Amino acid sequence: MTIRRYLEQFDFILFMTIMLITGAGLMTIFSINGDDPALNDFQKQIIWVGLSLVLLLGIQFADYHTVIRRLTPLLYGCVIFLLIYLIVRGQLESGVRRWIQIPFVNLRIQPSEFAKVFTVLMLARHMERWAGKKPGLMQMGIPCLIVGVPLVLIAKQPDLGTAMVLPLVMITMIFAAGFRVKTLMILGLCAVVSGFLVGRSVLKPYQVQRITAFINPEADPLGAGYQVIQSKIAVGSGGISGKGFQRGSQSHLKFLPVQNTDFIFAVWAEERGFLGSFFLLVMYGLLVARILKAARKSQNYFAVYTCIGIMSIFFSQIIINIGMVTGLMPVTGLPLPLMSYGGSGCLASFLALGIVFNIGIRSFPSY
Amino acid sequence: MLFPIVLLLLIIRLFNLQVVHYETYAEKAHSNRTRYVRDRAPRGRIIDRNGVLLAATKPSFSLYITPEDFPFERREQVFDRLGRILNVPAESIKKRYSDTQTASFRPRKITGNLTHESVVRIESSRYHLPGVSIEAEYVRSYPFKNTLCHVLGYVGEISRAELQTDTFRHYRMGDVIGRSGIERTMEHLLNGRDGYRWVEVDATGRQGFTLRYPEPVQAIPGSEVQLTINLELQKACESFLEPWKGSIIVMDPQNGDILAMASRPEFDPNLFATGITSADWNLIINCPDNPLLNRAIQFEAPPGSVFKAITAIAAMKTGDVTSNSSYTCAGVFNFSNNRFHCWHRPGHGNLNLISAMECSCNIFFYQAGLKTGIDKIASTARDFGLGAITGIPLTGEKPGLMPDRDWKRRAFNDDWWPGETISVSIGQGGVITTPTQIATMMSKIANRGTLYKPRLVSGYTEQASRNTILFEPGIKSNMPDFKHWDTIIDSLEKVVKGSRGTARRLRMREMTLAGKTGTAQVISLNALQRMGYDSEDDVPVHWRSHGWFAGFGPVDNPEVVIVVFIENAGKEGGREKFTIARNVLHKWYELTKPGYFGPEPDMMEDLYDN
Repeated sequence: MTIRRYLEQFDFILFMTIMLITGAGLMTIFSINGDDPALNDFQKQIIWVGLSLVLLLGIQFADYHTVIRRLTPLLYGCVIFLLIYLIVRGQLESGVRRWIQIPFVNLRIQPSEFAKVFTVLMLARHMERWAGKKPGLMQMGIPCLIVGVPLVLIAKQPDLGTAMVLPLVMITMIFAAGFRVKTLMILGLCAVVSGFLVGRSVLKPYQVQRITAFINPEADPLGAGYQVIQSKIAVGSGGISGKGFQRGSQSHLKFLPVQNTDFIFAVWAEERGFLGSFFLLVMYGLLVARILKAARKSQNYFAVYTCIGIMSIFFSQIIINIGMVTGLMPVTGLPLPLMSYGGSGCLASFLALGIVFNIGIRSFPSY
Repeated sequence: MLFPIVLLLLIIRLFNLQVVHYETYAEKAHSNRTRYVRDRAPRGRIIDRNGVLLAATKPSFSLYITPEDFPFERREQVFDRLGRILNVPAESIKKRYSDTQTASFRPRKITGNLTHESVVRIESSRYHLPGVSIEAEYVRSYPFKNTLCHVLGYVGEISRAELQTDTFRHYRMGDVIGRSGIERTMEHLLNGRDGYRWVEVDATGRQGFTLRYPEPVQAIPGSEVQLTINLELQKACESFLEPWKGSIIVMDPQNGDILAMASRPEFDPNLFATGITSADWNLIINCPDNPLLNRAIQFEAPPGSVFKAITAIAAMKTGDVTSNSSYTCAGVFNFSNNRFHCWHRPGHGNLNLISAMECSCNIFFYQAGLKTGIDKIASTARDFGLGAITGIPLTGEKPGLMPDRDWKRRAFNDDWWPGETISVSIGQGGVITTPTQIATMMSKIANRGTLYKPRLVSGYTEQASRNTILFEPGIKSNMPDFKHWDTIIDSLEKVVKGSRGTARRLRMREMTLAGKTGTAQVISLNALQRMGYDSEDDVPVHWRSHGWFAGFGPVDNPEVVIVVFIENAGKEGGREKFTIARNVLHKWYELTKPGYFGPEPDMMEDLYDN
């Protein structure tokens, strides 16, 4: 009886959208792996997607409002602990401390991926107290703290791309909560000033280089601008219908950098052409729209803010990643949600979407 | 809201990249993944008549820069770095790069013959040298160094002006072409056609499969050219000629094959193979003896008494002199207020043609020449190939000069004086010839009438098909109606055999020999006396007379013609030429007659003669 009601509310369109995007990601990873049988990224990713699906469906049995909402501080605390652990004791891998090796199993997790989701939950839990009233400037302190702690820790790894997502998410959520013009202006000013300070002191030389390269990629075609140039060539040479499965010369001859994570969209665009990339963008549009739909029909502030937050995680990552691949934004090193290779990213995305489904099936239209 | 607008922006961007600018990016992707690779065709080898390798190719490394892979902003940096590695000014590399015009995908050659160390240093700093590549190529090498250098010639890089010409339209900047000698004249055979193909490369430049389109073109190696030269004989000739300046030619009178062609001093053609350094070039070009000169074809000297054979033939042809005609030599001949001396002041007495040839009497030939007339002498000389290029396949052959009435009219707008005929009839008075002309002349006498074009290249072998194409001997003229060969050849044989023969020191046990000596005055004796040089020993080297010997043997069935020419021989060289000719003939005998073990000691008196 209850199950049937849940099933009626289950968003099958969103589910199909997720499956299609994930499928496109798997296909692309398979295409890249075709060159080198020793690489088993595709098999690993299949397992990750399987586990993620189990997580997505499994989480439906726990009421978000009672279970997830109550567990939020604990989850947030755990992820902050892991981030601190990374800074203190993390293994330096190619210049960054991003992964934690899980003992006894050959697995690594990336806490920053989960940090995004739990920060959103934490923010939502805090913001529900405002109960629909427009927040004043004095009320910004705690949200800034909730976002600031993981932001600094992630920026320290350093992982500027992921860190960048957090303030964007916060601003979107506060925007959704309603705002006073004065509040937003001051927040914006703070962002510019801190951004400038961070830019001066925290940015590594390679990060500065990436930004210069973004402004004028041809200045150093074999250096920092290389990735953008090659990525644009890959996308552009795909044409209308693409070069075909496993036919992308830019990706298969390794002109394209980090193809199965940050630049996976370029591989897809090269092999599938404009039709393929248009399809994918429409799918992402649908994804975002369906998350917003869940927000709209939900019945409490926690649910609304959570959906908005999760929507903005996806939204900002999609924009930043595709913007980067097409040369509209600087290279920041951010994966494309549901497409890029990576277990933590996949799990975190499905977890976030699981929460959206959870909210969706428990929001009944008022009879 | 914001969201659909941003999404639309992204879609517009993708449309712009993938649909509007598709062509641009497709082209970039294509040039990313493809590389133009040139397959070098080795230059054809040159071998001697027995197959000994005279000019080979050996691998070497060259430095190239491909414009399309050469980022504009980093050029200065790359030039600097290359300059440091190669130890040359960065400016010169830059100049070389900008002077070379190629399509942007085609590598431009910067320098060749890299040292092993440079190769290693360039390869190891690959990342800092975008667009720079090293290619294995072939360079010319001459294993016997100076030996036969004038005949082989040398190679050099093609010039910009040459590239514009039609002959070299399929050549590229940086290609090597023959600059002189056989290398130049056989360029069309020796030069292979480079092949090319497009290969797929990955981001690290590793080459993958060859693309089917544009279609690959196979390299065609240059043909192997076979010379008529016998290397052993050549080496011997060059060593016998030392320390003199001059030339030796050994020729087969039955087909015109050049068996040896020596010219001293010589140079090392290997110096040119990789681009001669200015120090080496200055050394060669400033040497007063001019080692680059191939004296066999480029030195024009009066033939002296060797020419008496021509005067004799002309006189007998016209019937002005018969085997019975005789003149008396009293040591001096008066002709219109001028006194013409015989080289033998006491005089030779009464002589017929054979005895006059034997002792090389001037007076006899003065009178024979006067009677025959300059025009007949000149036309006979031309029939024997004098005063014109022989057509030997070498660069820079000089024609020499056979003066006559017409020439005098054209050159000086003046009449021919009979006194000039007197000088011409003993091979002076403006007659100049090259040693090669004398060799072809003597061959015509030896084979009784056939003038051959000297043959240096017997044929070539195409490397792809292994087809060998042989060149026929080139006959330039015949003399079927001349009846007095026996008399002429007898007289020349007498020069060696006769007791008064001027070449009697050349008498050999091994074979009968016929020939003629010659002493060519560089400056008239009167002029020397006026300058106060009484004894020949006082005369400065560059005014000393040249020494000639031209002969053939065996007399009955001639197999070999030899010409020895010694520049500024003077008295000493005039004696030395016989020793040289004897040594060459012995060597020839040793090389062609199996079971022969060298000459027996010959007891000949040491005489200086004309």
